[in-house]
Amino acid sequence: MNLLNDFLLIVLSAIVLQNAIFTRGFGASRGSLMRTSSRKILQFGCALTVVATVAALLVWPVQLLLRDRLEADVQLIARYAATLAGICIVYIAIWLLTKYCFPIIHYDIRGLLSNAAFNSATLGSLLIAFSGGYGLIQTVGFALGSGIGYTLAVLLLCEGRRRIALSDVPRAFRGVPVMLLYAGILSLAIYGLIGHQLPT
Amino acid sequence: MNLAKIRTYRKHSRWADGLFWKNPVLVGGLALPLAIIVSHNLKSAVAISILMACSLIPTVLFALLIGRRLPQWIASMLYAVVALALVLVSEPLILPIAPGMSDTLGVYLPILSVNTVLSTLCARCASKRVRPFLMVVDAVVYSAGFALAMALIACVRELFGSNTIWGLSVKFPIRTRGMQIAFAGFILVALFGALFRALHRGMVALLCRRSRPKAETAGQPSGGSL
Repeated sequence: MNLLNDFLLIVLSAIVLQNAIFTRGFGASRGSLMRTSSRKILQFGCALTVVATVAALLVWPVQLLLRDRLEADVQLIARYAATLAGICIVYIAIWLLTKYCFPIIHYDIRGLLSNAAFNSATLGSLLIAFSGGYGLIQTVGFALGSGIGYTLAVLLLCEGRRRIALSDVPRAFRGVPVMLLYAGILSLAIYGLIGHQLPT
Repeated sequence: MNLAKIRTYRKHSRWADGLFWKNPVLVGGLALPLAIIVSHNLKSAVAISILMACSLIPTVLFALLIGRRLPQWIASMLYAVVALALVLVSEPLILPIAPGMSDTLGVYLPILSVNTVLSTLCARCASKRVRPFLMVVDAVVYSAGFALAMALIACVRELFGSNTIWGLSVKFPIRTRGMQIAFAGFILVALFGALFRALHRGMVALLCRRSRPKAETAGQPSGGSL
């Protein structure tokens, strides 16, 4: 029961309080800010979440071994390398699995899988979980929550973009700048939600 | 006439485009996590810019070598691995800036290996129409453009946020520590992006006006292509 509580808490925390885009800027790019199709966003988000979660499961035991056996400096480099290697393995596995077993899914995700796997949201969330010294359940929960949080954030930005498109935005701000302003305001809102006050 | 002028201008401006009018961060919207979070002070911005140049240019060269020979899905993975190796090898270069710089950058150091400037440029290398020399020029210019954007944002954030530049105290009447937080990064990138776009539009409009001064005075429409 405690494990389930921990898992749900960390998932919720990763979705809202430590949202990949709004609190750390992970995965923020022109591509994610300017996506228009909700279906594509969900596909991309699912791919990212699956890669991050499976990679977390795969790399966590390696991290544990590295933590005990290596010095601090080497440990950090090994952690980066192991995390990226884990993502590569999961990426290849998903690519081959979908190609030979689920060709319809493969056709849908082949264009976005590499972007989802080699994304700052995937690598960043895993590295934060590992540097935080979380247990296996918490690490997997954090990776899962980061993926879900990223997807929800991009959906929110997409909805905002649709509404902004109806407004009369100054020419220089059209496109990426106005979306960044919108993301900045949402980021500030989440900063307030955590309970912080603006420093004076 | 105007279109010919603009084409000539665009042909010769490739060297400066990545710095200003096609700046990868401010106009292109690439590598935003670094611009939003890491740009809270100038030292971090310079350090990450050095690492970006050290990883981007060799990785683009690598992409030019293997990009057309391997399937795209394998190549994209190799680019990330090569870039991470380059970032880790180049890490000692940033230690003279501040001894604990690697710790300050934290997870944003390995994230350089999966940044969107790198993936965009490397993906272009797979095309058969691309000229290798121009890709290298783009890599160099994009690295400089990234550094310029980071330095601009970092200067403003550090000056307003902690009244220092490069860690040195500066007398400045306003101090808003909120500038050090992520939302300020989003808003500053947006403001600088809009400023660069407005300047670019103004410059192209000026170019059109200069090419047809008589048409303007006669009340004829000018710069119709824009």
